[in-house]
Amino acid sequence: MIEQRASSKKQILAHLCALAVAGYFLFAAYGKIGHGDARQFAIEISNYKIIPPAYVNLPAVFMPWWEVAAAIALIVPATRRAGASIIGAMLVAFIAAVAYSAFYLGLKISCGCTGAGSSEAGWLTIGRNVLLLVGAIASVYLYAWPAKRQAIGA
Amino acid sequence: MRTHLLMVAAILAASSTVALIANTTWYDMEWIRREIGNTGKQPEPTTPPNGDNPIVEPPDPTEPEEGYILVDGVLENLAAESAFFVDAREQDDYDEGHLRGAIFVPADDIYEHVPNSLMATGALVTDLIIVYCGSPTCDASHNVADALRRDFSFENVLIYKNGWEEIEASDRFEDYIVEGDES
Repeated sequence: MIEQRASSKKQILAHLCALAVAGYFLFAAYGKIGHGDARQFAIEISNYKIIPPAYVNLPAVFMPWWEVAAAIALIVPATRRAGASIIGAMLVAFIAAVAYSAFYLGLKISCGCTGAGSSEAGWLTIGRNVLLLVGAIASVYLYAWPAKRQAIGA
Repeated sequence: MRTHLLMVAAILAASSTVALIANTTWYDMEWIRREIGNTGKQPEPTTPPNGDNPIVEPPDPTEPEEGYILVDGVLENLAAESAFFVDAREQDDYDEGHLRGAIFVPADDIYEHVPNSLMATGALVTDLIIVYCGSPTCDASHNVADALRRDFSFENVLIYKNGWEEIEASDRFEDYIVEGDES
């Protein structure tokens, strides 16, 4: 009984983590999907000096829709693991990009996280992305925890 | 594991399809960006007819590169009021001081400000637009200029590369600097 309450608390926490991370990604995608917003996002991507300028429109078009799809997949328990994988991969890439451009190259640039008017790329951006990554992972493992314990026979 | 990977692939494929449709029907962005004129390229070296080594003329420091304008040109246009000036810095920097008449178009929110600020003042695509930002090393003016040429079809956009750093350091701009909302 106590174990059931504990496992349902973990599941509630898993859902909350999923909702929080998905909510942020949906908000971030919204700022990059409109007509002028996609073009502005392409400019933010070019400022990182990672992708050659000729090709910056490609991630500017695709990435926001990947964020929407991954966020929705994260909310739905059946597709949560797939959504978390996509979100996790994107967050790792974003953290690496900020570390390279803002710290290694020393560029003072907007992170482009939420489209126009985004905060400056730096430690806060990395910290926020690490928190989101932890939330995405937690949403999967806390949700799967009761099933794992039953499988092990605990 | 296989099911998981298939699900990831399916999600990416579906969202990529939506992105393709969105760009085809709505954004209409080039998939691969072409180079736009006024890129500030150096002229190609000319090969003499006898096959000797190509002659490369050293750049004339008094003549601006293509797509750029120097301080004398900026002052001429300020005095004659013959150009629209665009300030590509951040709001705080603009409020502290900007060129008289300069329109605020921050590089991190171009597509909101160009139609609502620059074009609202009556700037036509054939008008001379001079864009500046903080210093020779900042990219903001280049980003705004590129957007004006590429996405708003402005034909005559020049970048004042040395920007606010030179404006502040020079005493030639005293009559042309204003603060806050003053224009």
